[in-house]
Amino acid sequence: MDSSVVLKEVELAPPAAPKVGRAKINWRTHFQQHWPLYVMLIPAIVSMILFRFYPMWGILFAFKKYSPVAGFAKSPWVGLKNFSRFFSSDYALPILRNTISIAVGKIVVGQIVAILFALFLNEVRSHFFKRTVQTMTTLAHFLSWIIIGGMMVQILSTKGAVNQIVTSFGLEPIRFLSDPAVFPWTLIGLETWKEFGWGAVIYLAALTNINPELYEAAAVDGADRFQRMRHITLPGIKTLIILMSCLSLGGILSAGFEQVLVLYNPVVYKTGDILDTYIYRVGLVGSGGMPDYSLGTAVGLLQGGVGFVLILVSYWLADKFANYRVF
Amino acid sequence: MHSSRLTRRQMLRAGVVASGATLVAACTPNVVKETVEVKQTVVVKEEVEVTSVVEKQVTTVVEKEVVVTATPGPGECEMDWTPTFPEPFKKYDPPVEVNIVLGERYDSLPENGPYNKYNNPMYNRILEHTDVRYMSKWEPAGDPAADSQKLNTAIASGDPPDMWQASGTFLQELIDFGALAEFKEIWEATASPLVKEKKGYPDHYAWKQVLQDGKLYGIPMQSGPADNDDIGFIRQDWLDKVGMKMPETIDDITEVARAWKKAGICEYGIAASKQLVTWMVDLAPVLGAYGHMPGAWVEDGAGGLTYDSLSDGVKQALAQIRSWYAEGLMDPDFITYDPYPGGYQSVSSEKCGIWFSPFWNYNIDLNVNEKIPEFLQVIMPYPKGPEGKQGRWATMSWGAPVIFRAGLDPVVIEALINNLNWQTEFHANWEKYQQYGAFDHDTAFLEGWDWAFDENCEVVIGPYPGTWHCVEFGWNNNPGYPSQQYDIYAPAFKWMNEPDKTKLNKAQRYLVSSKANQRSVEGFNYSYETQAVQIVNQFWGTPGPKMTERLPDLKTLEDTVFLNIIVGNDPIERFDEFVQEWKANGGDDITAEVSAWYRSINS
Amino acid sequence: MIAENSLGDRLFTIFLYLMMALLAFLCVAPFIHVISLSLSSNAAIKMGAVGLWPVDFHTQNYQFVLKEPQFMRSFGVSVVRVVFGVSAMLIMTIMTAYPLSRDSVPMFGRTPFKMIMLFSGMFGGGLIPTYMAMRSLHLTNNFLVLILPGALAVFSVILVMNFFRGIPVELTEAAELDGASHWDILFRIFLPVSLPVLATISLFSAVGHWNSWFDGVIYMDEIRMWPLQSYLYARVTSQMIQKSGTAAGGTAERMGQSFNELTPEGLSTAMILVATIPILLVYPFLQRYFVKGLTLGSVKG
Repeated sequence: MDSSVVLKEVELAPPAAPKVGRAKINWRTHFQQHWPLYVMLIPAIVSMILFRFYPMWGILFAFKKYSPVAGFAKSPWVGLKNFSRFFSSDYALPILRNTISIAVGKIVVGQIVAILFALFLNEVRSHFFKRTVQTMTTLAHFLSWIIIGGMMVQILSTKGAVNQIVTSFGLEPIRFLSDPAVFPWTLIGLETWKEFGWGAVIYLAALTNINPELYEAAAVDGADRFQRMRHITLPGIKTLIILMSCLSLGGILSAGFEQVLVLYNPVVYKTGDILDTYIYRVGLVGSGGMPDYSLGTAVGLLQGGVGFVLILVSYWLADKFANYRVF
Repeated sequence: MHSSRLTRRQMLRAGVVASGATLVAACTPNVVKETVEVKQTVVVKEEVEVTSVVEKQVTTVVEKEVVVTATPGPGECEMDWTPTFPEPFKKYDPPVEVNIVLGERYDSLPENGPYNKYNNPMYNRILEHTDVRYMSKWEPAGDPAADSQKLNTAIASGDPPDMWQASGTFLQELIDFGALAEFKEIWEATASPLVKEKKGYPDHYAWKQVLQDGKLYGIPMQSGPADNDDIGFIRQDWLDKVGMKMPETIDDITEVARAWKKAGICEYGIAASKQLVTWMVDLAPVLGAYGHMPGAWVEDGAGGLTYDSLSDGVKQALAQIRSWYAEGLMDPDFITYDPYPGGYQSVSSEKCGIWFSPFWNYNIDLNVNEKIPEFLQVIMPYPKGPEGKQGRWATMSWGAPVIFRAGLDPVVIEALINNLNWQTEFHANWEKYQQYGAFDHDTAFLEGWDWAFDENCEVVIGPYPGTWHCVEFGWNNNPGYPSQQYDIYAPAFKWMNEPDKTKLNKAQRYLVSSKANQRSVEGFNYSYETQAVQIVNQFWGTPGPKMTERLPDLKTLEDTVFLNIIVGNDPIERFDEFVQEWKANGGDDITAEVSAWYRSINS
Repeated sequence: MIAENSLGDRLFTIFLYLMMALLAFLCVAPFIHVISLSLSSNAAIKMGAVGLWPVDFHTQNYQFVLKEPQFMRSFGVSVVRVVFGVSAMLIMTIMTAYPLSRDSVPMFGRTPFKMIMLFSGMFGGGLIPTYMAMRSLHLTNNFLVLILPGALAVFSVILVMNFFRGIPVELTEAAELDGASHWDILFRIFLPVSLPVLATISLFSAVGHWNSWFDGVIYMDEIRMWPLQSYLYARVTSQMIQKSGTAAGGTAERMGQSFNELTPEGLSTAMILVATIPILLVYPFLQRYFVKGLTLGSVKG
C-alpha cells in the first residue's frame, strides 16, 4: 500500500485523547482485567518477528562485500566501504539533489493543485456532476505506473497528443522525456495528473464540515464568491493543509520509483536519476554482469534511516503545528 | 549499450516461419544470466576460412504460401520422406531427472490440448531418445531482470537448479567458491568425437572460461561469426521512388534520407534505438564506418588494449549522427525506444527506411506485405566512412556456458553430455535424418502442427507452426557450436539451387519455397561473407576488481554523454571532457588492468 | 447555500463547470485512448490512426484474452488473494489497533510497541534475506506468502487506531460500568461505528493486493499460481506479449481464422483493461462509502 496515501487520510480521525495521569498501577489486577489487550497484540508481534525482524539481518549485507555464490557467512566484512563508495562516486550528490527536488516538487505542486481543485469543485452545486468529476479524477490513482508509463511515453513523444496541441499554437514541440531541464517537470506534472484527484478527496471531505452559516453571513456582508473562497473556505482547511505538508516530509527521499523507472533514459539521468532507481540499477539489475547487492543494501539502508528520522520529525511537526497526534 | 543481445535462435524459437524474427523472448525457459557483458566478447584467434554458403546469386522461387484449414483425410496423401533419429548414445533406466528452470509456452499451447510442459513432442523426444527427464524447478517470468533476481536468490539461499547458464564475474565466483560440479573426466570419456570437434574442444577460446587449472566447470554454448552481427537494410521501393542508387557511403545515406524526407516518403529516414550498439535497429555499422566501436577494447599498438569509446573516430561518428538528428533524419524520440518494439516499429510503420539488424531480420517486409505490399527490404552494403572504412560490432560468439551445481550426481552429468552428443549428431546431420524442423526452429516437424497436406498432397504450413516445442535449455534443440548455422543452411541452399524441384521431396520443396527461408539463407550468407569488417572486442577475460567497481558508473557516463551529444543537449566538445573524465574516474586503472591481462594471455 | 444571480456569477458557474469537465476529461482521455486501441484493427494501430475512437472496430483482443486459460486462472488467483488478504489484514489491523487506541487504559509497553511497529514498517531486510526467510518458513511456492506478510499494515493500524480514539469516551465508559469486557467493547461498540474506516483500509488493501506483482514472480515457482498482475507484468513489460501476440497473430493469419486482428499492443491493452475492471467496479461504490465515513469520523471528533 502506498504509505503517503494512507497518511493523507489520517488527519480526519480526531485529535488524540488527553494523556492519562500516571497513577500507580497494580499490575496483577491490571493483567487480570486487561489481558485481552495483550492477547490482541500477539498476532501483530508474531507477524513482525517472522516477516519483519527475521529477515532484517540482511541489513548486515551493507557492511559486507556480498557474493550470492559465497553466501552470507563466507562473504568478507568491509566495514563502511560500501557507504564511502557511494559518497565518493560522482553520482551521490546529483542523485540526492534530484531525489529531493523531484519529491519536493511533487509535494508542492501536487498539494497546490489538489487544494485548488477541491476549492473549485466545492463550488459546484450539482451533486451528480461533482461525484462524476471526482470519480473520473481519482481513476488514475488506482493504476500502476507500469501500466500508465508506456501510454505516457507515446502521448508525450514529439509527435504525441500533447505536442500536437503545443505545435498547433506555433510553438516548438517540448521534449518532455529527452530534455534534462524539462524531465523533472514532466515527472512532477504526471504525478500531479495521476494523484490530484485522490489528494483532493481529503480536502473535499473536510470542506463539507465548514459551517454553511459562515457563507451566508459573508454573503450578507457583500463578499463575492472569490472572497468567500479566500476568507472562509481556505481558512477552514488551513490546519489540514499544514498537517498534510508536515506529514509529506516523511516521503522526501522517495521520489517515485516506478514512475521514474518507466519514463527515464540515459539522456535525462543528469536530472532524473533518483535514489530508488540507482538502488535498483546497482543492487538488483547490475550493470553488465552481477548486481552489487551490498552497495544497493547500503544505499537502501541510508534511505530507510533518513526516512525513519524524517517521519518521526514529520509526526512531531504535525503535533506542534497542527496539534495533531499521529501516534 | 551491448546488453540484452538475443541470439537468432532465441528469436526463432518463439516464432513461426515468416513472422518468427519479429519475436523477442525465447521459449520461456533458460534466460538465466543471459545478459551479455560489454567486456566479454570475441576474439577470433584462428584464421577463419570464409567459405560462402551461397556461391552465386540466389535465384528465388517464390510460391505463394497456401493457407489450408482442412487437410485431406488420412491415407489420401503420403509422406515421401522418412524421418529417423540418431541412435541413443546410452540408455538410462529409469531416466535421469534434472531440475532446471523450465516453463511452459502457456500462451501458445493449443487450447485445451493434451500438451503441457511435461508432455509435448519436444519433451517426449528428449525423454525417449536420451532418457533425460527435465523437471521444472520453477517457471521463468520471461523478464531477464526478474528471472536473474530469482536465480540469484535461489543460489544465495543454497538452492540452485541442477543446471543453468552463467558468465563473467558470476561464473568465476561460482567456480571460485566451489559451487559448480567439476566434470573433466566424465566429459573426456563421454563427449562424442563429433561434439569435441564441433565445439573446438579444448583449443577454441570459448573453453578458456570454463577450463581452469586442468579442471572443467562448464560447456560453452557457441555461435558463429555471422549469426548475430548487424547488416544494413534499405527500402528498395523507396530508393526507386526517388530514383537513387544504393548508398555506399555515410554521405550517400545522408543524401538518400534527405531525398526521402523531401519527397515526403517518410518522416525520418534512419532508424535507431536508445542503444547505439545492440542487437537490433542500432547504429553500430555507422560507428564502424569511422573505424571504431564504442564498448570494444582494441589493441593500442604497444601490446596492450585501449577502450575504443574514447577514440576520435567515435567522436566523428557522433558528430555525424548528431547532424542527422538535428536535420530531422532520425526520430526525435528514438532515445525513448527500446530496440524492440520501438526501433523495430519505426521501420514497420514506415517512419524509416534505413536500418541495421542481424540477418534474421531480413523479413520485416514479409511481415507487413499484406498491409503494405510495396515494402521491399534489401541488403545495403556496409557504409564507408570518410576514410573508406567499414565496420560492424562483432557479436560475442560464445554465450554463457552451461554449468552444473556442485554435488549433482555424475550419472546425471554423463546423461546430459550424452544428450548433447545426440543433439549435435541430430543437428549436424539433419539432412540425413530428414528432420526438417531443424531449419526453422530446431524442432520437430510434425504433421498437423508445423505442416499439413493441401488438396494436391503438397506440404504447406500447418495450423500451429512453431508452437508447443517447449523444452529449451542450453543445448536442447540447440547444441551451440560455431558452425551450427552453417551446417543447417548449406543443405537448404543446395535444394534452393536445384533446378529440378521434382527431385526434392515434399518437405524439402516446402522449405525452399518459403520466401522467408530464402531470405534467411541469403542474409546469412551476406553476413558470413563480410565478416572481415568485424571490429572485435579483444577483451574476453573475467572482469578484474577495478573494472567491476568502476565500469558501471563509467558506462552510465558514456551512455549519458553520447546520447546527449547526439540529441544536441551537449556540444560535441563534451566528448573531449568525457574522455578526460573517463580516464580520471578509474578508466586509466581499468585500462591498465585490461592491458595487463592482454599481455598475460599473449605471452 | 447562497443564491448566485449576477451575470458574473453565472459566467463563473459556466466557466467552473467547463473547467471541471475539462479536467475530468484530461484524466480519463488516456484511458479512452487505450480502450480504443484495444478495439482497433492491426493496421489502424500501426498507422497511428487511433485517437479517442476505435478504428475498424473489433473485439478479437477481448475474445482472445477471455479464452486464454492462464489469464482466467490468474484472475481467479487474484480474486482469492484479495478476499483472503483483505480478511487477514482486517483481523490483524482491528486486533492491533484496539489496544493501542485505548489511551484511557494504561498498558505495559504500549509506546515502545508503537515505535517498534513503525520502525519495522520502515526497514526491510532486502530481497535475498526476505526470500530466504520465507523459504525457511516453507512459504515459497505457497499461496500464503501472498497473504501473510502483508497482513500487518502499519499505516492501516495507525488509521484505525486514530479512528477508534475518536469514538466518544462516554460510550466506552458507560459500557465498562456495565461490566463489558474488552471483547464486548470492540465488537459491540467500536466495530459497528467503524465501518467507514474499515471500508477505507479494505479498499487500500484490496487495491494493493490486486496491483502487486513482484511477490508472485519471486515466490511462486509455477506460473499457474501467479496472480494476475504478475502474469500481466511478465506479458506486458517483459516482451512476452510481443511473442505471444505475434505468434498468435501469425498462426491465426495462416489459419485464415478469426483472430487476424490480434496485435501485441491491442492484446496488452485488452489485458490491462480487463484487469482494471474490478477496481473500476468496486471503487465508485466504496468511494461514496468512505468519503461519508471520513466526514462522519471528523464530526464525531
